[in-house]
Amino acid sequence: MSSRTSPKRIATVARREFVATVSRPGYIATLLLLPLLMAFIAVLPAIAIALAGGTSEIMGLQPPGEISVIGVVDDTGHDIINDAFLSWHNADQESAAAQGRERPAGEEVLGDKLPEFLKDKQLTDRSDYGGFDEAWRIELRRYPDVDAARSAIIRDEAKAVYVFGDDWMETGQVRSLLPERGAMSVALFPGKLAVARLVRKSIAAPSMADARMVERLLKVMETYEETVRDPSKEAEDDPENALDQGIAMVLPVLFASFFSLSIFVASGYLLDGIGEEKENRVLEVLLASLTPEELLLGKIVGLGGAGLLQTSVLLVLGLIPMLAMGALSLGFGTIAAMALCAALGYIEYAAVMAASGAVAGNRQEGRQISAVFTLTASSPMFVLPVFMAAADGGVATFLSMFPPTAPMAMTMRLGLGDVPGWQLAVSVIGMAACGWLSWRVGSRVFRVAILLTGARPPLHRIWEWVRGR
Amino acid sequence: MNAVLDVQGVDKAFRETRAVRDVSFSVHEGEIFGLLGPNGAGKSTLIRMMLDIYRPDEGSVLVFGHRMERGDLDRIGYLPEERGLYRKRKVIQVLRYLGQLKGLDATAATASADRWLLRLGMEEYRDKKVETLSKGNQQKIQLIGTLLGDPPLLVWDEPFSGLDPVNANQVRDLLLELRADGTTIVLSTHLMAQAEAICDRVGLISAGQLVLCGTLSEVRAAFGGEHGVVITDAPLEASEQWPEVTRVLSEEPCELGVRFTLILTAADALAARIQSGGHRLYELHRHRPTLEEVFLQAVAEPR
Repeated sequence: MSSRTSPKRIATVARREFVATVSRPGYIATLLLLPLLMAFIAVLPAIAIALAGGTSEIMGLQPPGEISVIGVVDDTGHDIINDAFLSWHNADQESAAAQGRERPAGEEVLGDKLPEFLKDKQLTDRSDYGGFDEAWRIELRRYPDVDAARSAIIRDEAKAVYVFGDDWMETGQVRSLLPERGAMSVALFPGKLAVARLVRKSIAAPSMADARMVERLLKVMETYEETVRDPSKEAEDDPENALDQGIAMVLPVLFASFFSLSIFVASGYLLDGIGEEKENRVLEVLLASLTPEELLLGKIVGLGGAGLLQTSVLLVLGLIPMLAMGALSLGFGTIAAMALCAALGYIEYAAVMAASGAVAGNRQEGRQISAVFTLTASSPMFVLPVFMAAADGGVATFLSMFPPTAPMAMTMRLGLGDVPGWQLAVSVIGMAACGWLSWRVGSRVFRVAILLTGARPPLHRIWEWVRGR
Repeated sequence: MNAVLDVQGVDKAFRETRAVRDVSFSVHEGEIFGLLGPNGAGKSTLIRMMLDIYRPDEGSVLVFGHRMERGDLDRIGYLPEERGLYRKRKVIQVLRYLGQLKGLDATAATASADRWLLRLGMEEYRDKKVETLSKGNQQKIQLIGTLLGDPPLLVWDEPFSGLDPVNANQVRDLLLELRADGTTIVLSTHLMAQAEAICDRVGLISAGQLVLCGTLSEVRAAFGGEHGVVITDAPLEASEQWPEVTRVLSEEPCELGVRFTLILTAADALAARIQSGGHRLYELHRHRPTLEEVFLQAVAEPR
């Protein structure tokens, strides 16, 4: 037949396959469960610390009930810290800790501290408003300058110090000095609420009713982070840091495995879909209107789209919070490279998975046949310790450049550290070439086997189809 | 008359099995062509080659006067023998999809589906899931699937299987209406009575070979014309002694002698010869052979 494929028909098949797949209860359940799984992974560091008997690093504060020191440096030249209120705050926190009281006393009187003209206005946002997270006890401490603040952090006296610089009046920006953290920390500007409350109350006093202060009153703190490193500290000697590093390695690998998982999920849909159509005897009805290549391409595109949707949900709901919390430190380029490897992996395996479904008599048999490919593709996960020990070692490098294992191995390596550009290029070219070969082989077998019924053909017969006989 | 389908010398083997051997025939525009043969004769393989699902090892197939092109798939309504539907989907969803695969947009596919559902009295099942329909109604939905977009050529493989007599008659009437509208139809069946009632021409397939092809009268004539049943004590056989006997199809001993089923050239001459030979003739009646008899005869002794 000349003019072999019609893009319109491919699109029709792809659309149908996509819609049919994403409306399956199993797909929807997976879509909902994935973010939960990702959320679990995001809090994995906290769980790991709790299991490891670690201390308070989870939120960057001391555990509930204990008092954490949060520092403030006022370099604004406008004396924006009211010492009387600071003392009152600290006394109140001490008594709250002693009494087991949750909310700070006198919170309700904040409104009275605001200038009259601001009382009816909606303040910018709740976090800037200056409330407390009632679970944490915070002692506010003034430091004379940034150096003193850094020292306080290095000797673990303060959990964070907020530096109000001389540009604060104009920009509202506040530097947050934080101790060096491991991947296990999910701290997001610890104690910021208390500091904002302190400053707001201080500058809202009648004596401070200056027009520029009013602007600052509306937006007290736009915080940005600066990590304070302790040069004398050897990270390897710190068991907690060692745990951090371990988790820091596991998280990207887990993340990479989700990318690879999308290959199998989408290929699995392909396999199941063909098996189902074979069981329902729909295939020949479809072949009355489509060429086998159109049918196969439409399925690959449509089900790849369904897999892509899952991966996108994973990215949006899982990756962004992990990155924001600092639990995962992958750059955009790395994530893009992982996505490319996953896409090429799907192309590599989709056609042969479809051929497996076509050769098999039913879905169960299809899964048995495809297990060979699934095991091959996921084999790098079986040697995970090798990757963890040396992501740029011989075995890991070979597996990441050997096309059948490259999709998973390369994403794992990308998650674990820098991969030389030439190795990534070789791997990508290899996967693309293997994908093309897979299409050639898979589509040939698919074309012949799609209408087979009864016993599964022997291997030598399939080999003849591959050779085009 | 234009040949909508022209099959020339096609051959297809699956390993050691030659499923189709050197088959040639044409299907003319606006006719119902019956492709007849027992199960396993090679009809479905032949049809798959006609539709380019299988490629012939030898020979060629021309559709609408040329080798099959991608666009021709949209002009052919094919009902395969191995058929099914998406069981979990609604009837209209399935039909809309099948219509879209034929190149219709969603609106046109839905309109075409609704029109055919109404014509076949199936409109009440429009929004029902396929799996809730009876086997016969599912079969009718499958038939409708082939009619979407009003293709000029229909290829239906065993369309009557699974249908009760009422639905079978409805489908037969539909076929006649479609022919009247100018649709060319290739009908594969092993139900000779149905084929005899509606086909303009037939091709008989046996063991992968086309053993007969032509109009009903042509294939009857090709197998010797009249059939007859004779009860006599004469030892009838196809020989010089009995030149009126073309072939003995069967012989069974009976109380009066032997009951022969024969193909005859001249019944009256045979009666005279039996009696002139001193034999008794108890009964002789003749009839035009049915398509089934021709078929059985052809299969038993292919020419």
